[in-house]
Amino acid sequence: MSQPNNDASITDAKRIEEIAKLRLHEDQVDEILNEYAQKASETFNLPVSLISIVLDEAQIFAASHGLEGWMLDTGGTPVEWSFCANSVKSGEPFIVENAKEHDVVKDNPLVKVDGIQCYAGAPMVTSNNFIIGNFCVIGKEKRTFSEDDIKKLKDFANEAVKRIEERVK
Amino acid sequence: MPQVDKYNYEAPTREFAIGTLIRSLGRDEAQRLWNEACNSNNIEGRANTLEDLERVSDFISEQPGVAGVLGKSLTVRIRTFKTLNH
Repeated sequence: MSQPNNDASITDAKRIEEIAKLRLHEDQVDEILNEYAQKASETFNLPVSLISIVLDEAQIFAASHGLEGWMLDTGGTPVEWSFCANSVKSGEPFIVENAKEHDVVKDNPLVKVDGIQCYAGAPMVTSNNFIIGNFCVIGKEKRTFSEDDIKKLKDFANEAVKRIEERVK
Repeated sequence: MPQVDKYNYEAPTREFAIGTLIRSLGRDEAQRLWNEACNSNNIEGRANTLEDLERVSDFISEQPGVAGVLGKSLTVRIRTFKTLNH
């Protein structure tokens, strides 16, 4: 039987409280965040971009562009499949240029079954210094990400946080 | 335990759900919330079916604060199982 997540960085009570205060678990369509996702997808010339919020046992998509298939229906995935959760643990961008050969994700069903091949995600850090999730881009082909790409992704992440925080002021 | 083989993913259970609530809310508050969710949905006893569990998690996800986040997590896990198992 599956056991509840025991990774303290993911289940941290203060971090979950921050997500609750920002009301990120509530179903809401934010066209501005969706526009950010679309712009990132175009900037990186990758089919999918997500603003993923990492909860205790799942990630949910606060906004997306290009998402299709079952994840569009569920609006998220179990947290153990979340590439973005790696940034919540490390505080750093998480980069996957060739998922099939990447030690952390090569056995992930999103790679083995759904065919994700490349990923770049930058942590979204709130003004209270909590990492709530990642702004990420995803593709089904191998590719490299430059330092400039990562900087652009961090800028998108910062803009998304600014928007998220403004919503609850 | 029902499982989606391709994804090596088991159906969420009552025990799993309560375990996540206890971890974040403490045993007493978790039990109180669970009972309230079951009572509100006319679920007697243990919420043993996935459908019952989904109704309970939907109720919890509508609660304010941290409980709502925990409920949303459970809801996504249940919907993932139902969608992939369809």
